[in-house]
Amino acid sequence: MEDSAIIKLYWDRDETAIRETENAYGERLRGLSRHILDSREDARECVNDTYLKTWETIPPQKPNFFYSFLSKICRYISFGRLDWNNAAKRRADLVSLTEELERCIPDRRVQDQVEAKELGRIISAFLATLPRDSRLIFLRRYWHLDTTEEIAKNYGFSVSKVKTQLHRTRAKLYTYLEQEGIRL
Amino acid sequence: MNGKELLEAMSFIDEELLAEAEAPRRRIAWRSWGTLAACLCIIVLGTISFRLLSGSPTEGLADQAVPEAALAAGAMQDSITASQEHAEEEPQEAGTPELADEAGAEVLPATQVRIIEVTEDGLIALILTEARDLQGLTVTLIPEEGMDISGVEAGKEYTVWATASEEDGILRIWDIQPADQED
Repeated sequence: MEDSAIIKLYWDRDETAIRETENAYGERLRGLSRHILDSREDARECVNDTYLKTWETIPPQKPNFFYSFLSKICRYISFGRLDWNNAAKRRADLVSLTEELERCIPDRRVQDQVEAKELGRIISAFLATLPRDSRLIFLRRYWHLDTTEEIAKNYGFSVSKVKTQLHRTRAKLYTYLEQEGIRL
Repeated sequence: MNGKELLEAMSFIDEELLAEAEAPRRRIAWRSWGTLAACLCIIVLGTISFRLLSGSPTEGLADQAVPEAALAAGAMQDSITASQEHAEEEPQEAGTPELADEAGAEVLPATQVRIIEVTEDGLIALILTEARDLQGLTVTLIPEEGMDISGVEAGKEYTVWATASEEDGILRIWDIQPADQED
């Protein structure tokens, strides 16, 4: 079923919307959540919570990019469930990602008051300034949590190029956040 | 704010940007030298085969075909060897910051410069920002291969992203933006 038809079901308050969403994107959403939580059961629960949140949000929302809309909710819920204390012990990949991004933060004291949504808006504006390849690599790494090897394989780049692009994009993000911090 | 919060805040990125990245796909490998070489060889060999099979007078042609095929095979081997060498070189050419750091090249933060002169090889620039004790120094900016600096003008200020070279006074730049560019 087309995304527009599924969204119409939500607007019509037809509960088959949930089933159609599951049919269309359930597996991808569980994969995204598992990437964060490393637990099938937790991922399943997060996806169910995603459907509930989607039901509560549409209407009034009418997303143009339905899977992006769903995956944002799923990712947010999954991170909310993540126990970072345990993650530090068992998820070296996540810890590594956070350490990489940590180097993009110019002055923690200035940035402390920035809300997550505002920060998301700032990062979106930053990403829009990047060349397409740099933007895609950055998103695959820090949104989808892909490894550099997975990114290289999917885009036909060398691992070396992926690492270079990420390093350079992080350097630019540092500058961008620094400038935003001055204006806040 | 810390790295965890930044990672989590990415959940609020624009959906349109996410949609672009949702379907990872393989790049078409036309840029692979090996692929290009193989295609050329197929064209050459196909042409030879067509001439042999077309029934046109072949006296001497078979003799010619063998050297041509040998040349094509040789060219193919040379191209494959070249592409292998290129592939081996690529990780070093890419100059990953991790490798570059191991080799001693330093990746610099965004640096404000004023261009003094545009030369054939690069740019002569005055460092304006206080970074790594470079402020006030005149350096040579060498653009990364394929980088377009045709719009850069002497007398104007820019922000550059660079890697320090082993040679004093030289920075290898991989991006340059006008300093007064608004977001």
